[in-house]
Amino acid sequence: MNVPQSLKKIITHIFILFMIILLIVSFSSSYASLNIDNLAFVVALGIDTGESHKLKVTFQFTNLPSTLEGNASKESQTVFNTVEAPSINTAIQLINAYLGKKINLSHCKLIVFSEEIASQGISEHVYTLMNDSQVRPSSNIIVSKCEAKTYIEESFPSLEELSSQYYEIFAQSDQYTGLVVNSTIRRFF
Amino acid sequence: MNQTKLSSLEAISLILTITIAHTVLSLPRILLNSTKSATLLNLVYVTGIVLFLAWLIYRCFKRFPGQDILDISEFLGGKIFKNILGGCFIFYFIVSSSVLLRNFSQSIQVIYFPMTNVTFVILFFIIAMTIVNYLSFHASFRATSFIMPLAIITVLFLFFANIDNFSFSRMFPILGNGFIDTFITGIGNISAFCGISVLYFLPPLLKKPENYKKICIASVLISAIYLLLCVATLLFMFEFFISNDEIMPLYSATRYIEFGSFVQRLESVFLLVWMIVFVCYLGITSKISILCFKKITKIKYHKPLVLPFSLLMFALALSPKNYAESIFFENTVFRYFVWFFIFTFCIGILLIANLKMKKIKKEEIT
Repeated sequence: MNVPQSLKKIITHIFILFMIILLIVSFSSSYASLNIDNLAFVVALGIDTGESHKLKVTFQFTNLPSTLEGNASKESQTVFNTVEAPSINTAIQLINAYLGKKINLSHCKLIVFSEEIASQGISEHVYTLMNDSQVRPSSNIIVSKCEAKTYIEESFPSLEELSSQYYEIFAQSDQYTGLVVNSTIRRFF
Repeated sequence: MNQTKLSSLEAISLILTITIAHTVLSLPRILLNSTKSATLLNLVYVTGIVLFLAWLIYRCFKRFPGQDILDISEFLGGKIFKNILGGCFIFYFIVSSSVLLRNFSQSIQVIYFPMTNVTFVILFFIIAMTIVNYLSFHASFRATSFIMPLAIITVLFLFFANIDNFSFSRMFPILGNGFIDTFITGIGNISAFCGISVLYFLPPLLKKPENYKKICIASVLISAIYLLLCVATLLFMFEFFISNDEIMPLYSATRYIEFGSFVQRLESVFLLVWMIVFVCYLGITSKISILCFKKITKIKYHKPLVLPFSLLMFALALSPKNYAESIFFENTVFRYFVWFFIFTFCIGILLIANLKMKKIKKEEIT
C-alpha cells in the first residue's frame, strides 16, 4: 500500500518540476524582450505632414549613460530618428524594423504636432496614442508653430540634464502662471 | 457536515465573482455601447427587473426546499430533461469561462508578455484552477470570500482616485439614444447580471437555507452597485473609447491614476487582484460544472473529474482562431445565451414546476 503512495508523491514532484520549468522557459522570452537593455525608450514624438506619406514621425530617444566606471555624472545623449508613414503605428513598426532595439513609448513625455497637421484635426492620432498600452495618459501634447521635428531637435533644456525630465515638468508652470496650457492626453477631450 | 456548506457571505461572493470577472473584460464597454450616456439610468432600471427576477427565483425555490434546479427539472420532466438541462448548464459555464479565460489571457499577453505564446498564459490559469479544485471541494468558494472584498475595494479606489479625470457632463443626454434604446432594447443589458445563474444551484449548498432570500437580494444589489461604479468610471472618463479601445476598459482607467510623481503606474496592482479574482472565477465555474456532471451521472467522487474538466476548458480556450472570434462570442453570443437560457428558460422551468407542484398538492387535498 505504501509503494503506490510514494510513487504518487514522486510523480507529483516530477509534474511540479516539469510545470515550473515549462513556465520559466515559456515566459523567459517575454522577460528578455522587455529587458531594459533591449529597449529603446522614446522621450518625445513629433508628428508632421509627410511628403511621400501622410505623416512624418520624429522619435527622440535618450541614450542613457552607463552608471559604471564613474560615468554617472555624464549627460545623456539624445538620438533622433524620422520616418514617413501613413499612420503613427506604421511609423513605430517601420522604426522597429531597422533599429537595433525595440522601441518603447512608456516613457514618452511629449507629443508635438505641427500647426499644419493640427489644422487638419488630430483627434484620430490622439485616439491612437490613447489606445496604446505603452503611452501614458500624462504625456504632454503640444502644437508647434514650426515643424514638430525642428521643435524636438532644437529643444535643449539649460537647467536640466535629462530632456525627459524637462518635458515632464515644463508644462506644470500652468499651476503658478496660468500662461501655459497643461494639455495632457488624459485632458485632451 | 457544515464544512461542505456555504455561509451567506460565501454565497454572495460566488455570485459577485462571476460579475467581476465579466466586468474586468469587455462587459462595461458592451453596456456603454448599447445604451451610451443612458447606461447609468438603464442599469438602475435593469437592476429593478433583476431584483424582481431574483425574488421570483426565491419564491419558486420556496416550494422545493433543499433542491437545486436540476432536481426541480427532474420533478418536472424526468431524468432525460434533467440531463439535458444539466448538459446546458455545463456547456454554459465551461464555454463562457473558457472564452473569458482566452480573452483575459490575450489581454495580459498584449500588456505584459508580448513574446509568450498565449497557450502558456492560459495554462498558467488552468494550473492554478486545477490545484484549487484538487485542494478541497469548497477551497475556491472560501478563497473567493477572502478575495471579494479586495476586488470591491479596488473598484472603489479606481472610482475615487479618478474623480479628477471625470467630466460629469458626459452622462448627458440622460436618455442616451432615446427612450426605446434605454428602456426597451436596453433590457438586453440584463445579461450583465449573469452571476445570478449560481442562484439556481445554491439552495442545497447553504448552511442556512432560510437566508436564501437575503442572498438573492443582496447579491443583485451589490452586483448593481459594483456595475454602476465601473460604468460610471468609464462613462465619466472616456467618451470616445467605447468604439476604439480593445484592451480591457477598466485597465485603461487604472492607467490614469497618479498621485504626484512617486505614486504612478498602479495598473499592475489592479491586474494582480483581477488575476486572483479570475482564478477564483474559473474555480467556481468548473466546480459548478463538476457538481452538475456529478448530479446527472450520479458519480460519487468529484476529484477524478477535476483534470478532465480542466483539460476541456484549456482546449476550449484555445479553440477560437483569434481574438476577434473570442470577442465576438463574449460580446454577442454570450449576451443572447444568458438572456434566453438564464433569464427566460430557467425561470420558465421554475414557474412551470411550481404550477405542477401546486396542482399535485391540490389533487392530494381533494
